[in-house]
Amino acid sequence: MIDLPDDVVALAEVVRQFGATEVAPAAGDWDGRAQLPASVLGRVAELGLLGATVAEAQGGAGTSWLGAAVIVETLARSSGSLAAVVAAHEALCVAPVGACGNDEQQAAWLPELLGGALGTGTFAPGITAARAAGGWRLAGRATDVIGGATAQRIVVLAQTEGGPSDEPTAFLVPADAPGLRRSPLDVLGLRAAGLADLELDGVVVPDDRRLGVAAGASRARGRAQDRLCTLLAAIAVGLGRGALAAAVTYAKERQQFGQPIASFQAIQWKIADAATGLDAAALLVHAAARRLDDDRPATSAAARALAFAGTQACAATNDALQIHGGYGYVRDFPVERMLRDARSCQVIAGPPAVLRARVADAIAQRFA
Amino acid sequence: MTPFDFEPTDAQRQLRDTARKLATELLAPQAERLDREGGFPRENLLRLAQHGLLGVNVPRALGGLEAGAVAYSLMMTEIARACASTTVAVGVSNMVAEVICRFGTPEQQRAHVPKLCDGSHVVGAFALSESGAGSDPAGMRTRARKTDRGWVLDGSKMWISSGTDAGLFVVWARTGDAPGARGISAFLVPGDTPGLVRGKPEHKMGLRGSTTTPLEFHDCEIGPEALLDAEGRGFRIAMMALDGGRIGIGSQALGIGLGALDAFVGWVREGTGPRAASQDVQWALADSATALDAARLLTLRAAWLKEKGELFTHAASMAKLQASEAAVRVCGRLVEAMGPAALRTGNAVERCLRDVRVTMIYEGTSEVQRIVIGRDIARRFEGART
Repeated sequence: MIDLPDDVVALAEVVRQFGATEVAPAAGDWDGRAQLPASVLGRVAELGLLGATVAEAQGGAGTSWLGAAVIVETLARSSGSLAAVVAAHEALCVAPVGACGNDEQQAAWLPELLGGALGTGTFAPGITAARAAGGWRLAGRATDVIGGATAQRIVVLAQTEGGPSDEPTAFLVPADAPGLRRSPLDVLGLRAAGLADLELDGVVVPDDRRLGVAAGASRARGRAQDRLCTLLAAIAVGLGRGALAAAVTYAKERQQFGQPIASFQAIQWKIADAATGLDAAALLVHAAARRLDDDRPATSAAARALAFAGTQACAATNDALQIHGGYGYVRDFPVERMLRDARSCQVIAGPPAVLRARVADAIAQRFA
Repeated sequence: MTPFDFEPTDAQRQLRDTARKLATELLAPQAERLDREGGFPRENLLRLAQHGLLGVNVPRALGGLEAGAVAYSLMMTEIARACASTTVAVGVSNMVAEVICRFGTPEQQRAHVPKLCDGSHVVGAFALSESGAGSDPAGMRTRARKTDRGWVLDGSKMWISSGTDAGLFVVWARTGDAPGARGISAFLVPGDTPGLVRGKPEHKMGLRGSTTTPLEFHDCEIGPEALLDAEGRGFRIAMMALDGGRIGIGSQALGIGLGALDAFVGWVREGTGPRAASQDVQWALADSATALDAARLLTLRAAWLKEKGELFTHAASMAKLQASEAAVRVCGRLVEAMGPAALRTGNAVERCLRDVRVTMIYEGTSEVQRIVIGRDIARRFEGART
């Protein structure tokens, strides 16, 4: 564990044990069925890992974003899908409710979000909110929403029409709201993360489900995006490390030409390069998470972290699969799943080109 | 040595066009369903056999097309461009036929090659790898015991392509106590031989329309006519089969990469946004096309050397190494450029990404290709000095 404070290291150990004993043995099955069992989300909630960033005063663990990143990274070593669901819950639902919800809303919603009710959110462009009797009418669509098929609460950021301002506003939408259609996706990786396209066709949301003041929402959008990117980057690191661990174990056991294949340079170089790349990626993740914790701008840092970690995770899982030979290509071993998950994690929030553009913009501004 | 001519002959072009037509009209429309549902494309393989595609580089007298190794490579690329899964059975069956033509007696050739070419054997398969003998076939443990009536096979094999449906297996087994590669012989074993048990197909990341199974041999009796070439000559046969096979896998990987690129270009053109103008997309197109062209040239060179009767071992390894690694990189790069849309099953890029990955593994891993190439170059260097 590099570069982390003691409390985060202790948290990581709890998650590591949970991951090794309760997640890893079942993760392949979840991937095969493209579903997480409710029981595992219950266990994640029991351990305080669901909504961990909620303040202690509000019933959460008061975990930092650095801690949240380490939680999802460690979960992802065993199951990318579970980690992604936890990340979306944290970044797209719990955090906006915590940041923009008023006291009543927080008192009403945070306990259920901490207790195992799954949340997610979308800041897809083009969703509108128009005034309607007793509230707002939401319309638009969002694609590739992590947890979109399974979440019970969805934070939707919409452009308000006829409201107090033209700023986007966040709404907490229950998943069973009439007019909300969810289309689950059959995808390459993160198959158990409940990916779905959402269509909001005149979903009516009462006023008391509108989150906070409009002025905060615009910033909340950027912040939600940065948090999601940071956590996805952490998941990428975890997937890479999970695959690397599997590959090292395999390479020490597998004998060819009368010796363990771990003794060959071709295998050692892959292991060394993967470990180095993943450590570098972890440092970028930690740097982005610390900026979130310090309430400093994190857009560039989060984009760097995901762009780099995504690449490293794809390379590491690819090499881990190669080390396994034919066994790497079959579903009895976890590495092919980790490779598929890493690819999904890398691009699920958009092409890496978008991330690089964010970094380049930030650098250009500095030289303006 | 005659200079390498990149232009296909009329006969090669004709076969490529036949393959392209079958790929486009027959295989492509079914590729997505085959991937989703799995199984073995028996009917389609019979259709390909009817057009001669299971015996491309096999003499006409034995039912083949006698079109040569370059035509074979062109055919494999066209088929893989539409359906990588089907290519596996096609490629292996062609190699089984070639191996029998090269090493078999006239009786063995007449008994099996026409049936491989016309599809009445369904397809042929190689049974070389074992759970403990992958990159290192010298670790093989399956045994063939000599009896009055022929041979008795005992042991188990793994990673057998088309294992569920193949009508003929080339099986490698130890016939002597000599260690390592010596003491290994090859046998022709019909799929219905008692004592040959086909295992359950592996659940694979890709190539889900190609079955990969273990095989078990329990007191499996075969006649004396089953022995291919002389006793103890099996390793040489395996190496020859792998050399030819590597041209096939290089051609297949190239085809999968081209298939992904086709789907990507389709996505770029149907886009309403600034897709085609984006440098991210342009660079992805340029780098992918360049890498695949390099792979194509190396693959054609290896096929051409084989056709001319020259040594082509290290050329085949180079082709397979470059084509498989380029195609894997291309598929990854195209997913990156496309973003989340590329992750959806039903998108050909998603399928290609899963299908192509094993081309860096089977028929010798990339690491094995590097060993072959490196050893060969070092050897030649030594020759030049002395």
